[in-house]
Amino acid sequence: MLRIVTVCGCGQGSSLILRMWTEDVIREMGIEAKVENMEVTSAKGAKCDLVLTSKALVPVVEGQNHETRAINNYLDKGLIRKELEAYCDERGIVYKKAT
Amino acid sequence: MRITKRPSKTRQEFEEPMKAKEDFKLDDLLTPDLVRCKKTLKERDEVIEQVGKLMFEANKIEERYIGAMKQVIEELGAYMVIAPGIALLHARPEDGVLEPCLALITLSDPVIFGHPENDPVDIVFGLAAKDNQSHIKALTTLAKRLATLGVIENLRRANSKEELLKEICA
Repeated sequence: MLRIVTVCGCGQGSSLILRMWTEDVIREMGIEAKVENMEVTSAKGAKCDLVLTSKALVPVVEGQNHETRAINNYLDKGLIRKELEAYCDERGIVYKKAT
Repeated sequence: MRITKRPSKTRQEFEEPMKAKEDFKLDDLLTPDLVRCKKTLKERDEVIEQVGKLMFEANKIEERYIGAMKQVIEELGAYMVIAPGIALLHARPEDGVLEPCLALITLSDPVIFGHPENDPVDIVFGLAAKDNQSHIKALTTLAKRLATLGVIENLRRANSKEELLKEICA
């Protein structure tokens, strides 16, 4: 089960929006994953596989426990899908291709 | 002894307090007194203050929440510019939220916020949340609305707060 965490400064604003889209995308891709949203202070040490956040926060949440990827437009589901597909391709995780 | 009968509550008034916390809809939080259209502001701090002023005057936040929103940007950078030109300002519930709300100001001239890619900003939302959950429905409705083709352009083209509200809460 892939563990994904979406991050913003306070844990209840932009990270919630990102989490919603990420959950939609993983459902469409048909991959087994769990998404949580957190604030920045909890995220650095978070035990997860992938952290998605704003480019501005990447330096703050980068850690050795997880991979961190920047999403620059929280309103563009296609961007999130692109990052997740790239992540899955790198690890040989199978997913449903977009029709 | 005269007994005055209290007017009985309408069914709606009776049910209001029992509304579940998760039920905040977008138009519960984004009310007309929290919206301004095409304001002319020069700097990021001014923008944050104006958004905060709307929320403060509507009794949704304590004054210190405004300073807290500024501090979040200063400490963490302009991550809340979540898409090109669009900012979602907010701080933590414990920074002085009285009641959850959402404010919106569109700017006549875009302002630099300091995001590496999404500057400058001309559509600014202010969010006050009481906890991590109760505004999820409203926020996700807002995000889906903003992601709908044409909505952001219409917000930029709107000339009155009525037009803005109509576009968002459609």
